[in-house]
Amino acid sequence: MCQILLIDDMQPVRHAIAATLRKAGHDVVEADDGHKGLEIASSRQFDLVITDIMMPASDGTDVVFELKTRSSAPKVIAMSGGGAGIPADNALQLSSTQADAVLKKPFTNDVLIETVSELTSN
Amino acid sequence: MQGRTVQGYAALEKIAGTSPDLLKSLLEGSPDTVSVSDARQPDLPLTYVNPSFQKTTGYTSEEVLGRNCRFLQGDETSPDDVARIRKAIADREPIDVVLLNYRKTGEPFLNSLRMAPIFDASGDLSAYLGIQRDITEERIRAESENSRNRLEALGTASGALAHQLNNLLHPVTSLISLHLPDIPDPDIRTDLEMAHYSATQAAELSNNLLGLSRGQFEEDTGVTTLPSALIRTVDLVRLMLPPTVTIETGFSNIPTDVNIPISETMFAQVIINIVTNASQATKHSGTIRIELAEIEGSKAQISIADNGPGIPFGLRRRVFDPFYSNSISKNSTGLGLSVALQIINKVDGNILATEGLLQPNGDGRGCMFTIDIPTIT
Repeated sequence: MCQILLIDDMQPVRHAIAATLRKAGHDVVEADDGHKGLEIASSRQFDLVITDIMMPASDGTDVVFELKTRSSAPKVIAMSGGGAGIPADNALQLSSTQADAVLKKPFTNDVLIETVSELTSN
Repeated sequence: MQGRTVQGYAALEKIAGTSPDLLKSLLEGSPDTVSVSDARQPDLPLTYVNPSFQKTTGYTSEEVLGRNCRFLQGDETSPDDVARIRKAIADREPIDVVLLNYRKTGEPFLNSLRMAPIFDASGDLSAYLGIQRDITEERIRAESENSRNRLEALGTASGALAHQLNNLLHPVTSLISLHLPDIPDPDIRTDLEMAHYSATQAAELSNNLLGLSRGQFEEDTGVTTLPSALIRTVDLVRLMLPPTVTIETGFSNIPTDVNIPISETMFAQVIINIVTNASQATKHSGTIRIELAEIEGSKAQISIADNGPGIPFGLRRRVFDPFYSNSISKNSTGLGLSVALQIINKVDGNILATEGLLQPNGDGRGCMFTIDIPTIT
């Protein structure tokens, strides 16, 4: 079981991802934008942070870079489906240099669970 | 002095007095076609045409002087346009009209005609001046530009739509598949599997839409990769045509990706124009087969065959002529195939019309357009 922080501005998407992670036995804390996510990440220790990249209030790329500058940084998964005019690959380009894994939306539950367990197995 | 502009006339008289040749040279050298019809004779016979007239229409002045210029009209000339000209003549008013005319060879061209009544010094109607310009090429370019803009707008809109759809569909597929194993009742499970299947199909459709926007947002490198671009374009065409049209594809003849020197938007325009033409030929109820092959490692060949009425052998080159169509309608500009050929010719490729698929009654064959494009090696 892992402590996971999940950051995504789309509530139904966040709900589905959180439900999938919880069913796999993980503890999940949800945040709906990058600022709130970073605040929560400062207040307690997580094994893994999963963050969306393109969010209206704050960019997920900042979250990835900020987390990775911290001592005892958690593992980080960046995820994106891109946006209007921006393919997912482009959206993930910058954060992929810092994140431990990237997930291109849409992804299946199996891919999500597999990626999480690969990163947190040790 | 009815309809006579006095201002400037003095200057003209001066030219006429000092260098009468200049006036003549102006008319003879005009890039636009200039014609004069005698308003004092019945049926307005032509009394002058400049050299540009012969260049555009193919008729010499000897062949046309003394005749009314309606010999330029033909089968597809709009009776409405002709009626407007008649009314302007009756009302002694000038008129601007764009109408379909025919050269001596029978080739149609789009004629932008401006006609004005000319009054002599005593104010009597003496002649009709016609200034004409062949705007066929201009119209083809505009048509090509229009459809490029439409495709780009469609790409942008469908890309934005696809992202929204993907975000909405993710929870549907994810949550159903998450809880499906926990449903003990097999009937409910079957229902939910159906819902999951539909959502997955919708997600796939949405990804196809997303594919359409690729190549539009990326910098236009002027290179298109086959077969992926062809698959995307055919997905788009399927959405554009009525579901009564059957589209079959065979793209497996290409062992690896092939690049052709044309932007994806232009490429899509060519395929869309030819497939739309094929669909119209079958009255939107036939079969269209699209195949891709690589020829001698240096050419990509795309064939688009239909099982419509086909084109008689002697007319197969002429279908690419602008406005060659027996059915120019509101939905058809009569330029689709001309635009396609022009785009392909620009990259040293060619399009040929030959025999297509067997007609449903087994009598004859439809039409097949074969596009050859040199590949980038």
